[in-house]
Amino acid sequence: MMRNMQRPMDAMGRDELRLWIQQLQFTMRDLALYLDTHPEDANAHRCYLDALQRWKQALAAYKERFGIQFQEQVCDHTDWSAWVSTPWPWEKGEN
Amino acid sequence: MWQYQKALQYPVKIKQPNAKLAKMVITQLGGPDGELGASMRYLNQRYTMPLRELSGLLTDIGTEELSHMEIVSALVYQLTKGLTPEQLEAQGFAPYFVDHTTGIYPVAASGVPFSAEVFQSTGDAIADLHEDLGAEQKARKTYDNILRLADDPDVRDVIRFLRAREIVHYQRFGEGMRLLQDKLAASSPWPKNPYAFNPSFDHECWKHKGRKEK
Repeated sequence: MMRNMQRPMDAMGRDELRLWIQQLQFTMRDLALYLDTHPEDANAHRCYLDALQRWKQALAAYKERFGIQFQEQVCDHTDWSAWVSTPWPWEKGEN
Repeated sequence: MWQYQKALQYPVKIKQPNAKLAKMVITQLGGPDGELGASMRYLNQRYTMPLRELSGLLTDIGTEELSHMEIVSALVYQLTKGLTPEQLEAQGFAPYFVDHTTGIYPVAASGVPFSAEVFQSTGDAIADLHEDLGAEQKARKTYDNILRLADDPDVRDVIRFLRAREIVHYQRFGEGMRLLQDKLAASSPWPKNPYAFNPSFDHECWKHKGRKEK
């Protein structure tokens, strides 16, 4: 299902790519709840791993094109100062 | 342990400040059926669950409720940002303003501060899961009532997302309850009435582990 929804990541602007990362995070959280009560559902687990892989790819693509936004993208101390100075998610138009 | 991600679970982009609406929405931060109470309820209940699946479910839903606290707080923050004291007063926000300015503090729509008395942790899995199912429906009810009163489309969109999550959580807790009841029915010395005891505390409930139902 997600395969059809995804546009190529290079075609996405900053806001669209960030929203895609948020959508993948949400997909994983929602599947996690389901897997807690259906731990043997192999198909749901495949969907989880699929989203996890896409999430990692999207984080790397975002960092390369638009810089740091998420702590998972931090590699060295200059990354950290970039991370801490990006807007907080409750700021208007920045979440 | 927990890790923070610098993103909301669902975006909040309010164009029009509205303190009157903020006064209603804030009840889902600090009110009787709000997200703070939901999170504390699940994260406190999880320790004494007799099944690991149930502790996992309470951990993951309790964690998601923390991200819903952040969404509701972002709504209140943006709805009150940039208003003058006169505008805040005209929009009914003066009683909150005198104590908290436009800081975020957990209160109900009535102004009553958050209290741990809005939830229980009984140390009894059946009692706790029944409370959790009720809590999800009570929160869904509050979101429904906000939707009956709020006309700002930016606010309504976020409230509809939060409302949908209550329904998903209700579904998951229902599955958790069924899992517990099926396992109890298979192992309790009282298979016809395994719910009459505390499966988190009364170990006799799990006496006949693996017994096949006739």
